[in-house]
Amino acid sequence: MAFFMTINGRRVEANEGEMVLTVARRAGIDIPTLCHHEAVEPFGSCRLCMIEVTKPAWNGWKGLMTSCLYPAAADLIVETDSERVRQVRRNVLDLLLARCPDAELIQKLAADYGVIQSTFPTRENPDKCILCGLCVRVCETAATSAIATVQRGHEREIGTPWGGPPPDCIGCLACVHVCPTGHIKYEDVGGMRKVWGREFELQRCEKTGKVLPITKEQAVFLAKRQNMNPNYLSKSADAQRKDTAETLGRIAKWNKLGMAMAPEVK
Amino acid sequence: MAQRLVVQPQYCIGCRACEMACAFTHGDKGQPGKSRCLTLTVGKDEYVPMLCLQCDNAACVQVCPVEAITRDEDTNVVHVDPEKCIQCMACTVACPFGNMHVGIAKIEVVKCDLCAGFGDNPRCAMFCPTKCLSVEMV
Repeated sequence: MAFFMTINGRRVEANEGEMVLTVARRAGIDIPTLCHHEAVEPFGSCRLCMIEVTKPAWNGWKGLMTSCLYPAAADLIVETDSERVRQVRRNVLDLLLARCPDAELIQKLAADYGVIQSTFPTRENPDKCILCGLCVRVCETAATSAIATVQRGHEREIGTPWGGPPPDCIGCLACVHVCPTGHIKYEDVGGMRKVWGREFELQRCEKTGKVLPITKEQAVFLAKRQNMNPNYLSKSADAQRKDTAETLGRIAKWNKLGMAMAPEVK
Repeated sequence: MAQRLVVQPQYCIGCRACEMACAFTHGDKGQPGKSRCLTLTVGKDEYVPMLCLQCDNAACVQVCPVEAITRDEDTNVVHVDPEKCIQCMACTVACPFGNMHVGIAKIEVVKCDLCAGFGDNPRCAMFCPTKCLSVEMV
């Protein structure tokens, strides 16, 4: 059921069960996020989408919440860009910049919030991982849970079982493409794909022998999980298009023949 | 109101106006190679324009592991949600007609959506001189 709530003084429509972030984005109000992706459930780990919420019944008390996890409600009043919100985001970006000084996206977001240089000492040997866990969640939703966060505290990182090549990985590169900072690296060379320290053989087109953008393990996995005929995942788009065009061309030829043979209607 | 794109290859003269119309409507700088409608030559003076057929039991919808490809029940058009897509490229392989394309940036998938958001009037059909491509209301 639809109802109305207030975001930045604007009256916007929301539906039951939606989160404030979804409502705000639909209304064209920008809230920065790093760990959010439409394909997975919200998680609230990057803390960048913080907003200030209040209700008339709360006697002026204002709470800081993550908008990706805060359910929309009638008569809710939201501020997405107040000074308090900006200060919280500045702190978050300050910490992230200390962790990942080389990540371009973090640098850009931090600069937007006025953080040019982190006030904290930067990490030794920094990488670009902000530990948002989006790759882990996508792998869980779309693939096989081949990666997870390992260790605790300051040693926490995204890793594979026992640090070796992940046995369950299907090489679908979902983790690579959703990573907000581009930390996860992969290589596609000569029909082989290398990701997470494991080598995958890429599927080849049955007709032309062309390398397809999916791995053999991925084709087997998708055929089983999505209940597909494996033949669907064994030909390249170009070969399929050519086949279909030839079939349609044959039909067109018969149609032309039919048009020529048909008695002229006057 | 649902509409359907009708392809009648016997009328195609291979002028590729549909490719250009598509590339200039959706593409960047009108690159015809990145059009969602491709005209293939299958013989002497025989051409077949190939576009998404919006299949009823679509392979792309079935193969998507995150349900990013869905059918709009009102218009009967299959859409890709770029926000949901994880760029696993399974749909580009799964389409049995090869009509799921990789976009210009090389990381997104694009398909014919009958110009949804562009007046909901397929440009390829508007520019087709011989009515090889035409729109039918269903």
